[in-house]
Amino acid sequence: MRTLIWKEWREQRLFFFLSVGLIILIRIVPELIPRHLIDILDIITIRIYMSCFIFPILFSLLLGVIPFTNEFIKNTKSFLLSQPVTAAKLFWVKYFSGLLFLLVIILLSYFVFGIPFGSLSPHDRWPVIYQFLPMTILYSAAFLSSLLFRNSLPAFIYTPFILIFGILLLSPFIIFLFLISPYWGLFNLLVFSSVTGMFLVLSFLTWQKAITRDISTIKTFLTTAVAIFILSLAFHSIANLATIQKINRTIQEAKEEGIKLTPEEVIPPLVPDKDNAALVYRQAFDLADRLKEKFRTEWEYMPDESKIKIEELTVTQKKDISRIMQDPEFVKLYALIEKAVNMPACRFDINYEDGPAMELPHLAKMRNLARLLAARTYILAEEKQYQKALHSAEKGLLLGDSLSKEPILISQLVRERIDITAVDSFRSVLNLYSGSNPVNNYQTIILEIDRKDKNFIKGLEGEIAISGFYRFGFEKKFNYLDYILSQRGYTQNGKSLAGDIFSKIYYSYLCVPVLKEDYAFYIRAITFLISTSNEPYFLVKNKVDKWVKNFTAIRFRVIKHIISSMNLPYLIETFREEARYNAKLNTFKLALALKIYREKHGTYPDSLTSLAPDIIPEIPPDPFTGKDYIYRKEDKGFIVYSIGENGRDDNGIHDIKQKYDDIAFKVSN
Amino acid sequence: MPNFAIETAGLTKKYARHKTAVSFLDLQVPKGSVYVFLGRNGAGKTTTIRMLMGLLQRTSGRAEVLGFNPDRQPVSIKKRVGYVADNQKMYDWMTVGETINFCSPFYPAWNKALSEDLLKRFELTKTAKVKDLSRGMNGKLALLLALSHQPELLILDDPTSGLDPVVRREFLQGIIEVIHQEAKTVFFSTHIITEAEQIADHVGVLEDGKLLLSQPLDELKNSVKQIRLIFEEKVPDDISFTGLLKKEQLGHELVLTVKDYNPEILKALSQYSPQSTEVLDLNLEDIFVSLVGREEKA
Repeated sequence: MRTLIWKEWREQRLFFFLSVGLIILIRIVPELIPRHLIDILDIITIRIYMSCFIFPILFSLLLGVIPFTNEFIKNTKSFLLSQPVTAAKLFWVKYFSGLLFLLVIILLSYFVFGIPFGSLSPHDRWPVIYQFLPMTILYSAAFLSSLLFRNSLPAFIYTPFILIFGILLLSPFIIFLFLISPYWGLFNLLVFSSVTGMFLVLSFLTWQKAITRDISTIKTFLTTAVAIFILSLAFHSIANLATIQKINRTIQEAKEEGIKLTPEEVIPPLVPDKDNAALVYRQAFDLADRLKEKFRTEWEYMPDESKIKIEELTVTQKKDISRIMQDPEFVKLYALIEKAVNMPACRFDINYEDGPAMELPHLAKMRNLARLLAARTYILAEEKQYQKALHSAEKGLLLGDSLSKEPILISQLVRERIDITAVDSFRSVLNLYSGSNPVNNYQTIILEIDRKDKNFIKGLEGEIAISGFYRFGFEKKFNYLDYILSQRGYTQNGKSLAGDIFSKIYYSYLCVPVLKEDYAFYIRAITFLISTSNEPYFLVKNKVDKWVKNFTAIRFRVIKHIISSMNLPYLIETFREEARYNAKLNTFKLALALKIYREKHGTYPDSLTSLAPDIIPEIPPDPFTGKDYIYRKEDKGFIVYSIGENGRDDNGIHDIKQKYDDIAFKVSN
Repeated sequence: MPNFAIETAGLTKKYARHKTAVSFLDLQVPKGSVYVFLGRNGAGKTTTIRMLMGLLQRTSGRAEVLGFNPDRQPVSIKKRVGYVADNQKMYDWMTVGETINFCSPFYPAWNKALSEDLLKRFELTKTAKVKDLSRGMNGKLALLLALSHQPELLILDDPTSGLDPVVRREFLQGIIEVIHQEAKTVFFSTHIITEAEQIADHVGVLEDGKLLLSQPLDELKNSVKQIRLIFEEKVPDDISFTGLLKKEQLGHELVLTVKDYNPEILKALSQYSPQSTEVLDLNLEDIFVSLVGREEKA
C-alpha cells in the first residue's frame, strides 16, 4: 500500500507543487501592483472567486483526470496490473490519494487567499467544509471520465457532461432522498454520498470489470449506468407509491371532516344575468373609470387612489369632491352601486381554472368603490346631510357582501377591507350626528353586521380546492413551475423555459411525489386552519401559535413542503386577520348599541352589560381575550375597544410603529 | 499437488464480431519444464498468457496456473509467477533502484540478495533512469523483477521481441543461466524458433488460436522426419497416408515430411519402388514450417 501511495505522490507531486506555486503567485501578484489598479480590477472579488470556485474546480478536474490517464498514456497499465495487488486496491489508492491532494490544495487555497478559517465560528466553518463536497463529486466525475476516455484532454472536456449524465441518472433517487430526509444537512449529505457513490461504483466497475480484464469499457459502463438508473427509478416509484397512499389518506380524512377539495365543490353556480350584481358592478366600474378621466386633476386626491385620508384634505379639496359627487355621472354611479348591493346574487366572471394565476381585477375596483362610498359618506356628514350619509355608509357595508360567495382567500380579505372601510366611514356620521331618532337605522345596521359572514372559511376552502388543486398541477391545465419561471422572467423567446421537454419530464414525472407530499401537507394545514376558524381566537391562539412554531421550524428543517412554505405564512396571517375583523365589527356594533342606549336613556351607560338584552341579545366577547370589550365614557362620547393581539391594554390606541394594536371605535358625540 | 504448472481445457477467447483469438486450447505445461510456446505473430500467444495471468477475461474453458484460477485468484498467481509481458513498459520516471523498491513490497518472497546478484549479472545500475535504459537493459530489468521473488513459474511473453540479435542473444543467455540455476518451470512464448531450440525441453505450437501440437522437444524431433525418395522414372502422385504433413517434388526426387514417424511408413512406401530412400532428421524450424505451412522470418 505504501509503495502505491509513494508512486501516486511521485507522479503527482509536480502538479501539486505547480498548483501551490500558482496559488502563491496569484496571491502575491496583487501586492506588487499599484493600489488604484487593485481597486479597478476588484482584486478581492477575483481572489474570492479564485479560492472558492476557480481553483477548487480546476484542481478537482485535474486531480481526477491525472491518476489513470497517466497509466494509459504512458502505457504502464500492464506493468502495474502485473503486480500481485488487487485491482480494487490500485483503484482506491489512486482515488483517495488524489482526493487527499485535492483537500490539501483547496485548504491551502483558502488560507492563502485569506479565508480566516481559524477565526470562523464552528457554525461558519461548515459552509467552507461543505465546499469540499461538491468538489469531491466533480473529482469523482473526472475520475470516471478518465477511465472512459483514457486521455487527459477528452477526459477533462467531457467531465461536465459525465457529471450531468450522472446527476440525471440519480434524479429519481434524489427525489426519494428529498422525501425521506428530515433535515437539509442530512439531505445534502445523502445526495453528496449517493452521487459520489454512483460515480465510484461506475468508475470501480469500469476499472475492475472492464479495464483490468480487457472487457468492453463502454458496455460495462452503460450496463452499470442502466442498472443504477433502474434502481434509481425503483426508489422513485417507492416514493411515489408512498406519497400516493399519503395523499389518498389525507384526502379521505379531509373529506371526513367535510373539507371541500375539488373546484366543482366550491366554484359558485352560475347566476342568471338579471339577478347578477356583477354585471351592474361592471357598469359601475366603467363609470368610475370615466369619472376618473373626466376629473383627472381632482382624482389625484380622491380617496379611491390617493393614500391621503379624506379627513386630511383641505377645505377646497373637500369641496371639489363634493362637486364631483353631484355630477350626474357620479349620481348614476351611486345609483348603480345601490342597485347592485340589493341584488340577490353576485358572480364575477373568473377563470378559476387558472388556479393561482387567475386574474381578479374586480377586487381592486370593488375596493375603489368602497372608498368612494366612504368619501361620499364623510362629505355628506360634513355637509350635515346625516340621513343621506348614513344611507351611503349602509350601502358601503353591503358592498363587501357581494364578494362573500367567492371561494378565493384574497376575495375574502378584500371583502374584509371593504367592510372595515365602511365601518370607519360610519364614524363621521356617529361623531357629528346627534339629531332625532336614528334608532331604526342603527338597529338595521346591527342586523346587517350580525348577518355578515365572520370568517374566511370560504377563502380557505378555495385555497385547497382551487388554488391548491391547480397549484400542485394535478390538473394539467396549470403548470406551477411554468408559472413561477414566467413570473420571474425566465423566458426564452417569449416562451417559458418550463415549456421544454426536460422541465415537463421533471414536473410531470420526477417531481410528482414531492408535489403530492407537499399537497398532503397543504391540505392538512388548511384543514387545521379551517377548524380553528370556527373557534374564537382566544381559545385556539395557543394551539395555532404552537402549530406555527412547529411549521416555522419545519420550514427551516424539512425540505418537502416547498409550495406550502411559500403560501402558508400568508394563510396563517388570515387567522389573526379574522380576529381583528371580528373585533372591528363588534366594537362598531357595540358603538351603535351605545348610541341606541343614549337615544333611549339620554346618556351612555356605565357599563356594556346594560346593553343586553334590551338593545342587543348579548354582549359579544373580545376575540383576543374572551372577556368583555373595554368601554369607557369620554367627555361627550365614549370609546369601546379590543386589546388586540398583543394582549395588552394600549388605551385604545392603534399605532403599529409604537406596537399599539388596540382595535377601537371611538365616538366623540 | 497438480503435476502441471499450467493446465487449460477448452480455453477460448472470442472478441467482438466473432473474432476468435484462442480456440479450445488444451495446454499442459509440466512442472520443471522449459516450455516454449511457439507461434507466429497474432497466433494468440499473448492472449493466452494474459488469460493465464488473469489480465483478460476468458470466453469459455478452464485454466489453472499453479493450481489457481486466474479469474478468481489472480493475485495468488501473480505472487508465484514471474511475468515478463510482451513489450513491457515500466515507469520511465523511476530509476532502476526505485523500480525495484516499488515492486519488491508486493512480493513476500522477494530475495534481496538475488536481486542484487541479478543487478550485477545484468550489469544494471541502480541510479540509472528507466527512460535511459536500452531495450535490452529494459528487458533485463523486467527479468530481474520477474526472478527476484523466486517464482515457481516464469512466464515470458515474447521477451526478446524487438531486440537486435546481439542483445537478444545476451538476454537469452541471461535466461538460460537463471533457468539452469533455479530449475524453475518456464513458459516461454516466442515466434523466433532458434530461441526456442536453445532452451526448450517442451514445445507447443499455436496457429490461429489453435494448438497444433504440444510435446517434449526430443519426442517431437523423433516423431517428425523427412523421407527423401528418388525415383528412376516418374514420381508417383498418389502417395498419401496418415501423418503426412508435406510433400515436395524436385524432378525425380520426392521429399515427404511426416508426423509420428515409424519404420512401417518406409515399408508402405517401398511398394512405389523408389530407387533410394533416406530418412532425415529435422530441426525445430523445419518442423514448425511444416506444421504452420509458411516460413516465418526470424
